[in-house]
Amino acid sequence: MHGSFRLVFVGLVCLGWSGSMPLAHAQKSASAAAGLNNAEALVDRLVQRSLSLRDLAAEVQVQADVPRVKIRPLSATMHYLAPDRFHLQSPRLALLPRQNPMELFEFLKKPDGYRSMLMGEDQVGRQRAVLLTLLPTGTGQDWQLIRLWLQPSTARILQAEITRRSLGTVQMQYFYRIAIPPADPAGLDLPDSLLFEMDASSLKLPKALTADLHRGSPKDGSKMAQRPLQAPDGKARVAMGFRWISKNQGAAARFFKTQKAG
Amino acid sequence: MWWTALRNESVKILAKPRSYLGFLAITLLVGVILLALALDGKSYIEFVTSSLQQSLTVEGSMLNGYLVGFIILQMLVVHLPLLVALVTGDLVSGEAAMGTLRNLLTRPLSRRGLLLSKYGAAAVYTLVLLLWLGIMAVMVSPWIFGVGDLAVLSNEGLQILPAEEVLPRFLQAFGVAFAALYTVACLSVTLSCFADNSIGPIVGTMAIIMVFTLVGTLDVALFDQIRPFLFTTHMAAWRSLFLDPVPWGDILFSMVLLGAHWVLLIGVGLWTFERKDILT
Repeated sequence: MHGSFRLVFVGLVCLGWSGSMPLAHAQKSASAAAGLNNAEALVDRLVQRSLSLRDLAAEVQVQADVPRVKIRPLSATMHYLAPDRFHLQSPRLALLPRQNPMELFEFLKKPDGYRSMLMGEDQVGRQRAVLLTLLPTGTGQDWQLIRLWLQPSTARILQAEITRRSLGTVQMQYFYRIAIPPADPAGLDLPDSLLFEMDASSLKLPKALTADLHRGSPKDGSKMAQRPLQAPDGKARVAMGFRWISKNQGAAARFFKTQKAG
Repeated sequence: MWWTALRNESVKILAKPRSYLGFLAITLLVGVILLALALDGKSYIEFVTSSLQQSLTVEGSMLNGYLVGFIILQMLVVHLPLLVALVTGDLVSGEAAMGTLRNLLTRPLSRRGLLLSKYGAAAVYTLVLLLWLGIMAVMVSPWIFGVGDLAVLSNEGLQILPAEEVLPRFLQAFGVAFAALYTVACLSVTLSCFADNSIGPIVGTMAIIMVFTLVGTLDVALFDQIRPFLFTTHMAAWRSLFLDPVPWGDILFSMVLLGAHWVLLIGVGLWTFERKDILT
């Protein structure tokens, strides 16, 4: 199911967003590994890139695959204003991860709040990556551990995993249409799509107030109640495909100002 | 002639105070549900989605007019048979009790025609009662709570239907609910043909519904074979119209089975009424 969901998700992003360019991790530049082979250099690059993120607006395609929940894909408009204002404007009900998609960049902007360790090399898909682990310097934080899989040469985030006390572990996979990130270290390098994956094995919904006639006998019904509609591996997945409308051009600031005035 | 008889029977229903009890009950109950959900609807939604919200967040309001309409329909369709039987169980036996039945049959209308006009009037009453519930559920609720996607909780989990699909599904659901309620009306009119007072058919109808519901609910293998053929099993068939995809084959089976009940009950009623020794 995971595979088919990913296939649908990739298709959705490719077709929905003009998609003549292949959606892939940046393979070319990965092979040209050079320079950023220590934790400080990688963090420095990540901080620079994150600091340049201030004001974003995008059209978003959201597709959720959650056990025992059936919801159709939808289109919405997203606004993000640093440091922590995020709003998804959707005419329909949307299921989203609890953290906003830009939250990781907010973490990264404050290097005093964490210490980093390079944990060696790993693979993300068919791509070579370096694994960077971030640990909080203080004790009061909700987050416990961040693991980042980065492109060695450019520090582009390919995959991330955030573990928190309150929400558990959420994995995020980043997909880029353009294989090579901007040469400018402070240049924006935004993903074209994101795939969130989180544990939903403990997800429980109250039983229906009345039995479903056309879903078998009460005996069958109780079996059905324990059977997930989708995602049989117990994972909830939310895919978000972005078409960036405005990057640091004040669109989100204007939006939130209008909202406040309204 | 038959249309005149149908009109007369409908006017007689209108003239009885008990006919308005159903409308009053629906209005009061819907008012109570609307008030309760307006004051405490958010906690109801939180109860349903609390586990989901541990790892995900729902953008947009689940508590909207369509959900409230669905809740109203789900709660009240259970009670509507009583309100229907209260009026339709009196259509023949009430005349017998008042001593107007023999007088009525002196008119140039066959017994069959007269009884069919009573079945027709029962259909009109059921339809109007259901329409009133529909107005309260699908027009008043969205007016108060607004519209949006409908989140339906079923045995399989939570299904979220886009708002633009909800209204047509409600209309179809009312059609299926009418088929179920008219079966109750047919049952009570048929029982009414056997009795000379109103209490018997009304209580009899409710007793049959209770026994059939119990048989349908008991998870005993003995009842597995008969369960699909009880009309009470199909009383909630309208809910299936809010599943995605809609199980059209199953709904068609429900409609055919309910239709067969109409034919059977009306047939039994006609057979009994045509042979009945009418003394009053």
